[in-house]
Amino acid sequence: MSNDLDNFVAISSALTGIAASKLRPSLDTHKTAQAYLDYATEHGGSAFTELMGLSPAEVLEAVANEPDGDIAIMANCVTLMWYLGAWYFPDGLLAYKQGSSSFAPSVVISSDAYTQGWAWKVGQAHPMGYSELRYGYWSGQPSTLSDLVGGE
Amino acid sequence: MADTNHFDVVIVGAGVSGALIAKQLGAAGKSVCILEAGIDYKDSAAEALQRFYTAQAKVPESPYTPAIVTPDAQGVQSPSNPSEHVIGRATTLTLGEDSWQNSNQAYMDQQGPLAFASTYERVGGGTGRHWLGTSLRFPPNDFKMKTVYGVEEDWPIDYDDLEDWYGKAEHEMGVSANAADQGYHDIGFPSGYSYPMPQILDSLVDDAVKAGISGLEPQEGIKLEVTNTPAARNSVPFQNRRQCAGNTNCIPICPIQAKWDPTVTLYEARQSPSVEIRFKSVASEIVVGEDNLVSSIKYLTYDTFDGGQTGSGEVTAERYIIAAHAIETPRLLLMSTNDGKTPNGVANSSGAVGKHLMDHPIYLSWAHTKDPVFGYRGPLSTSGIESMRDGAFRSKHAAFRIEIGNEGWNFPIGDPYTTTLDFVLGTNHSQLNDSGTAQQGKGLVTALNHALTRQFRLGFLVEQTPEDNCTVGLSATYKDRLGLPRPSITYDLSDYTKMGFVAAKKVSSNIYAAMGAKEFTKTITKEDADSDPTSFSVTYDANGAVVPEGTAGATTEYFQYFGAGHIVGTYRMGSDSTNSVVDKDQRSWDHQNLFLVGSGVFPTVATGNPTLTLAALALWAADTVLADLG
Repeated sequence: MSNDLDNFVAISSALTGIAASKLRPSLDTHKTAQAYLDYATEHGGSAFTELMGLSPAEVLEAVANEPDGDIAIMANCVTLMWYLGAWYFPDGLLAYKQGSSSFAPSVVISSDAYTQGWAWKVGQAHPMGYSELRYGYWSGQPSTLSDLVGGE
Repeated sequence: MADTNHFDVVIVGAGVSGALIAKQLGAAGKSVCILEAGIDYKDSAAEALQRFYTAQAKVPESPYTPAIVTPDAQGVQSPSNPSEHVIGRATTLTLGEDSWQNSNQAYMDQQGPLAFASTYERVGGGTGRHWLGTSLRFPPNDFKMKTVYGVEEDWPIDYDDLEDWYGKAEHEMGVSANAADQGYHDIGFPSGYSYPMPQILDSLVDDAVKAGISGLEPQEGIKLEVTNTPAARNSVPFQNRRQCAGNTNCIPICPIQAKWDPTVTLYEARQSPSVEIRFKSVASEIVVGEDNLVSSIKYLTYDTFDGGQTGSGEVTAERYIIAAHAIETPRLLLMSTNDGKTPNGVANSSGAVGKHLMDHPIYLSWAHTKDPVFGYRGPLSTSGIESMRDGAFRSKHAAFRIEIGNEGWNFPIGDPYTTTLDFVLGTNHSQLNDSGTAQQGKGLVTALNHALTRQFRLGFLVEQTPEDNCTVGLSATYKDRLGLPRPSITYDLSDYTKMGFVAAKKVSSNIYAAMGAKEFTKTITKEDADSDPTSFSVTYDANGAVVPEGTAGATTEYFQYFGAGHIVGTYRMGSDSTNSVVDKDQRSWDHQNLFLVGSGVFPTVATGNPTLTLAALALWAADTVLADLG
């Protein structure tokens, strides 16, 4: 039987397209998955509890069937947490999604969350202000996308 | 016992100029006291990086203090109230229609008609903490615009006067460049001159622009070329600092200090036992004696940013140097009324203190390339197009340099945030998600990768003319928590400058077309120009002359501009004491023991980023002060 963290990582991987082995690497120095699970449990309310009761496939189905529903918005929050290291408030995110607000309020979860944001890696780059690369790397090609996000 | 409040030289401001001068004077054994309004950089470097990482809006001011934002109960950050801070400062967060004139959000009392869009720091190291590192020399014609093109002003010095000082500044700060690439527009170097470090490597974005414009027709008769940008950033280890690791974050903070900033030189200056820095010491009055010489500088002290004044002090010296840049320097001069003895402020017999405020208003454009160029990598900018910094067109419209950005669409639309939200939610604020599809899984990765890896932007730094109606004064209404009046600002752009935007837009579109890139620059409407304090309209006829809106056959265009952070011109140097504040030595015409340094002395904003030139002038001023002291 899978525990909460396994299920959270599986759901997160399905939503983000990032391999589970990248979201929770075997040498997990940042423990980002656990930190995000804890954060979402504290701030995500009943929608997050509900989401965690579903399988990854069921989450994707809920997102497709009812994109503005509570589950889908919470799924968006989880996706953005991984990509941007920030927690978007569900109400504000829904308003932004529906076009009634031009701004989606958020908080940066932590310094670690910022420097582990996946949007940068999906762009084959690194967070601004956090490069682990060496002088001159920018004059050559970056690592391949599949190297960075895992999977095929 | 020695008087601990008397020095050979007192300097106000521990920024670029203050640091460079203090080091020179200290090395010569002179006693120096720097009064710095902000906190010690030693206390703040690690905290500054953490503040940046956790800032929701990562604007240039975000790492520094006092904090420009205050979190609410949920942690959402909004602009702090500047009247609650002992030392206020401006932020680019308060340039919106609803905030730019809101005194509870915006530090500067902006009177318009347009908003002054640049900001500065009040912290040990000054605004140089968040500079880009661009270290361009000014072409010779920048110093003689009146003579050559019949516009603007001539400087009282020329390129030849500055050439050696440029070299000294480049070596003091550590600039990476190859001299052979930098000789355009008659910029000269002594035979055999070399920069202290080889050039920083070009980015893939630079390569794409270079290849794309190789076949582009000359623009206004000028062939465009991409040139590597000299930068005070380490291409090799230098001054015990590391090589640049391409953090793409020169502004607002380099996490490894591969970029020179004034704290590097302040550290060296403080190795001299005769150099003292008094932090949290806000200069409040320049005192003028009966002999019309400056006799002391008074300052106020504080413990916490949101507390009040906790003490005061007064220092005396043989020579006084105000190095608090082009807004706080005139503010201090104007505040110094000496109980009515200098009712218009110190050093202001010409009435020119505070006038001719300038910037390089930026025309920002952005596009998507056919093949990936991989932005968000390398230093923020490694190359530019310098070709249109000079040419016959300058008799008609403003010149500009073109900065090639390596940070994707971070500057234009706040990416990767905006585009990520678009593909996750199905919105289209980036214009890259036309179908409005929300993605998950691999589809999200593929779509976002395609979007981000093809983004790049160009920034056109347009030369702004010096005008009497662009001013720094004292707010009659608003004060900071020390009870000192906040700066009030009036600001506008001349027709000459606006026509520089028209030319920039044309060149920009031609570059993108030549590259086969799809342009996404936001279209500015009449409604924007009417409501947004950083937007304007310009109407011109077939000859490029500005005419009233609605004139038959004329064209009207609308633009938004951004600040370059180049705050220039409010105590200009000149050869005539009736219309300038300092002479060519940067010495006050009115008070022979007072020097005013920094980019405030520039008679024109010229066509390059100002730091290298103000650094060269600071070293020159240090030499003059040393000669004075004997």
